[in-house]
Amino acid sequence: MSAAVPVLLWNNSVATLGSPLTPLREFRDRGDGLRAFRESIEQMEPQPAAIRILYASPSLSQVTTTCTKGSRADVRDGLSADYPVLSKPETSWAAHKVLMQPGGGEASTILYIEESDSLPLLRAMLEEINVRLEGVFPILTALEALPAIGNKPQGAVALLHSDAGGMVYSATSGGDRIVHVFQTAASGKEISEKLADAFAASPADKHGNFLVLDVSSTPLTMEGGDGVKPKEITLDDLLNATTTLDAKGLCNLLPPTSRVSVDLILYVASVVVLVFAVLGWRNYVSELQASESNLAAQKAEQTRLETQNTQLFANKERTEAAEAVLSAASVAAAHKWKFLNALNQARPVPISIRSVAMTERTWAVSGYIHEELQDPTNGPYQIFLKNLSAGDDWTLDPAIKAAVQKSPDFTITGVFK
Amino acid sequence: MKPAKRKRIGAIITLSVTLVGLGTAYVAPLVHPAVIGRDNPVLIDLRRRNSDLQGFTAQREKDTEGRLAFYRRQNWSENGFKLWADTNVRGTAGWILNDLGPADLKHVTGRRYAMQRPNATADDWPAIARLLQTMESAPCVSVVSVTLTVGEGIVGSQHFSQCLLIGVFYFSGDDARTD
Repeated sequence: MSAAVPVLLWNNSVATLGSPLTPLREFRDRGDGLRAFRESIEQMEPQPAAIRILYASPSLSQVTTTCTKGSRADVRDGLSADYPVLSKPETSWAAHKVLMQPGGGEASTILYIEESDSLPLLRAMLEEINVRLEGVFPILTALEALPAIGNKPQGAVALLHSDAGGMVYSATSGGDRIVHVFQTAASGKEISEKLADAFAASPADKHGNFLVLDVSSTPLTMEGGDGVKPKEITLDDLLNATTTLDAKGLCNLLPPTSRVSVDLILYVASVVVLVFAVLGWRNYVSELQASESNLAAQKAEQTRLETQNTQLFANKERTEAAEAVLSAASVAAAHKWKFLNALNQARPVPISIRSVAMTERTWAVSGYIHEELQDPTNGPYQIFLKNLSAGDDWTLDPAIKAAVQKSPDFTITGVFK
Repeated sequence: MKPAKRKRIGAIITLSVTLVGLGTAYVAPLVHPAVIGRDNPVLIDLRRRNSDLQGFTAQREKDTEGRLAFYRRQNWSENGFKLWADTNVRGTAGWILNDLGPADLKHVTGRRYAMQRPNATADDWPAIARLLQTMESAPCVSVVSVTLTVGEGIVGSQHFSQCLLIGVFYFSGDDARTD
């Protein structure tokens, strides 16, 4: 970004670096100074991308006042009680660097308030021709920025004089500052009186800086009666000093507006919120669609299961009822007749059967051994047991088979398969 | 109204609308949640019941019904039993038929009968064996008890002191439904 070009706008006269102070062309129909100023900027070769205006105008009031030291916002807050217009954000105002009186005294500044709304309008008009207005600075703020003063408490007296008006400035090393502005061309006598007052206000500093800028068509004759020699300064000195001023500081009547406006913040926030809202809706809609799709599948499965379960349950009821009948109508194993026949065939002659008792699952036979009881392996009893146990449909109690029969009376038991 | 003020109001309205949209997007799922149904209790219950019922297939039911029908065809009728009893018990000398009453059974109708042959001797053995074989070979008859006891000594052993056959005869009339 190229540096802003300094332009002096002193009432209705304009000067730039290397050019004299020239009255603006007046529009006969409306006398519109802003329009004339924009036209002069438009005619500059090359046309600047940005400008800084060193400014003085009848609508710009100034006053020396005590104040709070701090940022631009602090100073405005401190002064708002005495100057309520400062609390309005649209008010154009500026102030000199706040100086403290030595020894912890009060802080003071020179406060400027632009009483018209011309400056914001001027900025808008310049933007129409693509010229950015970087700042509008009271002329004396550039004077204090000159190396001879250096924005510090220092005794100085200055006279700025042109056909557009005049200014008498005096400052003491104690931080006191006095300004007198002539809005029109002043006579030499009036100026001399104010200069005398200025020198009187700071007698200890009378041998200090006495700066003079006189670009009027009839320059004043500066007589340093008290031996004070004026130091001439030029418009270029002031214009160059303008470039050193802090555009965001106190001395700018029209500080740059934040590029990020509240509206922009609101719109950006809206976009961010919109993005999250869209994502949220998209997610919700996706879930809804998925759930609807899933729901249809579930309903289909539910219907299928309900139908299947109804059928299976009916199967179950019928099957269990039938099985209950079949289970209840159990028929005992039909081995009893076979068992009796086997019993007769297995029985050796020395064995007598006394009783046979058969139930659905068990059988018991009791009898008597008439002879050869003493033969534990090949006696009639053993043969009887062996023969009887050959049947496929019943079994003998293993304990009976293993036991040694010592009594002629016997009872053998077993179960049907 | 100044253009700047209109612009600011427009920005505020825009933000408000988007905020409402955002809020709605995140509140809507709470008010009207998407029913994914991964944990659908109805389905879970239906699946569990279906799993439990898988054993009761139509084929199993058909097989069981077949066995039940076969059983029913073999059930005793009053006339059938009378004929069987007259032929094998009452019509045969020496046997006494005693009706012991209904068997203590659920689902089916069973009657207990005792076939007793008092004063039987060794010579009656073939008749005893024949009746037992007849009972065991008849359908829907369960021989639940056979008791044969002879007397003491050589003489006694030729005479039965007890000859008792007890059978349960299943008659028609069970409680299974065949829809």
